[in-house]
Amino acid sequence: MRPLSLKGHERALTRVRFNREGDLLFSAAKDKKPCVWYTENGERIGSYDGHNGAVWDIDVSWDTSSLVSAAADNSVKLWDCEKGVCLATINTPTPAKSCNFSYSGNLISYTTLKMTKNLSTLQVRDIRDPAQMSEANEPAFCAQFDVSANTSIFSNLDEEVTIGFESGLMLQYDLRNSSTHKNANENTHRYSIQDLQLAPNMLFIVSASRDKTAALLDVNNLNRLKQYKSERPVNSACASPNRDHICLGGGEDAMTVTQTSVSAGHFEAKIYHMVFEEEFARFKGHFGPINSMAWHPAGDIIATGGEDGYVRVQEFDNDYSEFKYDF
Amino acid sequence: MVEIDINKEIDDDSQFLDPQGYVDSITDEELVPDVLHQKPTLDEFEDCCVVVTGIPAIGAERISKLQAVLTKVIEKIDKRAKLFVPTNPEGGSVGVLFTEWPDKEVAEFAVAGLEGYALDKNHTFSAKLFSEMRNMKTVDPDWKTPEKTAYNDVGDLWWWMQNDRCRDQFAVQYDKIGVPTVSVYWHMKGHEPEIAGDPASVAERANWTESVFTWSPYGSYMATIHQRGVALWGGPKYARFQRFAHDAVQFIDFSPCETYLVTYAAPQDRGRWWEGEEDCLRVWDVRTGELKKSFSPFALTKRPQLPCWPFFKWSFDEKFFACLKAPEKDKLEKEKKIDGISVFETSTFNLVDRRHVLVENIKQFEWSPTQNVLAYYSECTDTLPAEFGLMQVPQQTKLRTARIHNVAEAQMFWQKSGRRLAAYTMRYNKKTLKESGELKYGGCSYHVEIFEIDKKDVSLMNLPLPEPFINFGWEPQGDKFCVLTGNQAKATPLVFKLEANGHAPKLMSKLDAGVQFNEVMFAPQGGWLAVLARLSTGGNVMFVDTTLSEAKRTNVVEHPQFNKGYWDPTGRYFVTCSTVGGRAGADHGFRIYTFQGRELCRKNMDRLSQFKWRPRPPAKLSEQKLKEIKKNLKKTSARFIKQDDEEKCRASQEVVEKRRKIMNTFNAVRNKNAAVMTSTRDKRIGLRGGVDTDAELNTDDFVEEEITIALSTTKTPAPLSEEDEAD
Repeated sequence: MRPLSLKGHERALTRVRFNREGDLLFSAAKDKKPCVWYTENGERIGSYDGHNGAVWDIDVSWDTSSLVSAAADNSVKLWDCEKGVCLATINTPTPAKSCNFSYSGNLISYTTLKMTKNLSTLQVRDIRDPAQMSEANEPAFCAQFDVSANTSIFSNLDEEVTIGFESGLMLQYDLRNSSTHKNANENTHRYSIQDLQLAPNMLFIVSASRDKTAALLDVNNLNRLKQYKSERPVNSACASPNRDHICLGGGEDAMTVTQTSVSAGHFEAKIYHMVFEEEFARFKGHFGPINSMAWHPAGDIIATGGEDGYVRVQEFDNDYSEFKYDF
Repeated sequence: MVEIDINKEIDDDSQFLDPQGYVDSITDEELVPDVLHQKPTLDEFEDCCVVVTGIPAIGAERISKLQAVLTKVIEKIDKRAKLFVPTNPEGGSVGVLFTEWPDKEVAEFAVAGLEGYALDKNHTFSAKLFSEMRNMKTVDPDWKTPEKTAYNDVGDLWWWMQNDRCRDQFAVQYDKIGVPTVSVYWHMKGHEPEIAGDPASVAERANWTESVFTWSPYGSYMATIHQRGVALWGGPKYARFQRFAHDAVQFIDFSPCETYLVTYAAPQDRGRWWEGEEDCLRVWDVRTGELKKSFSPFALTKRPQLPCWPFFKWSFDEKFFACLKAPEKDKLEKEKKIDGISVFETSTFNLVDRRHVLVENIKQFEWSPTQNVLAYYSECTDTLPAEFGLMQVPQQTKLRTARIHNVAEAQMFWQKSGRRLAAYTMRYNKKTLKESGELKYGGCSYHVEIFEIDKKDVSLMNLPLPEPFINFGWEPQGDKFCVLTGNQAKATPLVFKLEANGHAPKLMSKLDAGVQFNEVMFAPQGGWLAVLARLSTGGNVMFVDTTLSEAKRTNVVEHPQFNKGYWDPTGRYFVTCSTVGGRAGADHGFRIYTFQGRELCRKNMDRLSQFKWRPRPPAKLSEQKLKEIKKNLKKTSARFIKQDDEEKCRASQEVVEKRRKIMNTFNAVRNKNAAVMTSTRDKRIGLRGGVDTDAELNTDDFVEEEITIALSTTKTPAPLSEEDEAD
């Protein structure tokens, strides 16, 4: 049955995510309609219709009750996960690039891009407070930057947010102290941060950058612990929930893909040992760069979303589960 | 009618005159340098005078006889010469002769002819242009013999040959964390290469060279290029062994036994194209660092730039080095075809016999790898066929020539053993000159000619090729060769064998055609062959075993877009690299394979620009010893295999040990963070409304949904029941 190749989007994928149980797979693409699928057989359950521009990011709350989406139509929307109804819309001055639920699912964070005179922002709002769920009112937390913040995650429960910038800089904010950032890391990555993901055990952050590397960061102080080198820009990286493994995806720039052969594009997903930083496996499938990937909570499936418009659900074979490093 | 006043017209010219007191801002040198260059000068007279020393010093009574003898000698060169023998007060000669010639060319020719002319046993002439005399200086009275410089001992230059595991080294140049670095590695089968230095910092240096590096032909030294010259490094610490000062040096080349080094820097002042710098091509003694001779490339080639590099081709024993002669010019200053080779000898660094070796229309020449024999190819003209020839140097006797009509294109390949020479020719039926000035050949056929040097009278074989020629490769010592024929899309390697009494090469096998193959390379020890598709998208390398009666493909590997391939000096390994000079967008790095094409290791390196195996010096063992080694090969190899296994075991233990350490360090951080996480457990349960999501998902809560989907249905009539049947 596996791997599944899901064709539900008309344009490049921007984000794939599993819910906490792993039975549902959510995907967002540049084609305005995020989708939800059964992980088991790849059947599409439905889509969330309402955005009028590329959807850059989606996230699902821990109890799979609500979904948040950030889109290029200058809005962030909150949805009822089950019914597909839009519950609230927050208009943003510039395209919203990323969004994320907090641990409790009560807070959402999102970032907006820097455009002309508008600075890039990070905002946090409480979805329980109807007043906050509109751009008319001040958010619970706000910070401004003159470099675009590409990606944001709640890294420590409901208290801290980590953001990655186009310049390669990463900052960590404590929401209880909004004046300045708590930790910064500017040496790990040289180019744009494409993705930040919290490891399932919530002890580490995995960062992916266009400088052809991914890194493992300490969630408490943002120190780089490990670095994973790839031959191509990395667009997404995720950590296994039950093994010390990291998976990276990316590939040759979409711009130059037409000039290179598939084998030279490095569109494979590459699996590294988290601690020894060695690549030991890779799997093919996409014929364009991978834009987003997520590890299934059970640890034996990886979902990838590619520039080619496909979502692939890859189940590992026995060789993978039996593979062990000697140490 | 209008009357034209001619005088007035002329007067009008005055308006083009410069106003009074006007000073021209452009000098004549800038305005008309080429005309000024031809302007006669006072010392032109001096250029026509030649001073000859070394003539007999005799008394007044015999002076007229001397004059008669000298006139005879001089008139042999040019009848128009005038000579003057200065005399001492007694009327005897002082050993000097002044001669005057009609022009500079003749004078220069006379210098060449008179220099070193032996009049008799005791008198040898030395001739100089008068103008050159100006450059002579009296010997500094304080001059002393320079002090002997101590030998710079950098340790055993061949230390790496004594590696107890007989490993080979290679060096790479790449950007390590953005800094151009040269590193020397040990190649270790089945392992990551290891830095070949103790401490490691001696074998890996940032900015070791400013452009490129190279190994000397026997591997004793590594040469690096710098703004101020060339440096050689050797010994176990890669210490600096020698320096050669040459500003802005661009190209370097070693002689085959690494005795001499040739360096070249482009002339500084490009604006004056007619005079290259006098000494921008230099030949050095590697061991002493002494400048042996410098050349003006302009004088050698009559061109502002070197036509090729290496410019000098060395004979196998370094006795001679040679380059194509400068083309003569006809009366219209148009270049004629090159008509000779300039062969220099290293005992004097002058032309052998002070003469060029004349070969009409010569296009290309190559030294035999084992004898002082030159193979040359002269182009065909409208009337003359092309000629391939073998010529002994310095005797200049031709061993064999072959004339071939209508040759459009040719290449020559010596076998490493020096026993054979192959000459590839493309012959045409029709030649048309297009309007664009481009020559077009029609009805082409492709041939390979094989000269067998050690056969009587040098036998010659012809091999017509069925398809266009792409590349050729000799087995270095054996009797086989491989010709690659076909085109870009489909190239077929053909392996031939030369039999002792055969009259034509025998086709051993026609291998599978491949896409974009463009080079064949036999392993240095023979037997194994690599067929390469360099700079292609797929980047295939086909490994072929030719040791059996039929050549067989053992493996085909892929290294997308690689641009270079090299056998290691032992012929056991093959490396493919993708370097900065290759295809744009390719991943820079190298991959090492066994001779059978099994990949051993691959490494990506940022901006890899060079990969060079360290060459090995020739084996100095006696025949007997070599035989002995060959006989005991089985025993020795068993030892090596055992060592390899032990090493593998040890290495894996080392790796495990290393990993354990890394894991322990990492676990310290992990445990610390995990402790923090555990401490927030209650808080987290609170945040999620009392649900403990840390616990394993409780599968009891799951509702098992079973969905049955009919994949296909068929209609079958139900059988009648037994009861019905009973009725």
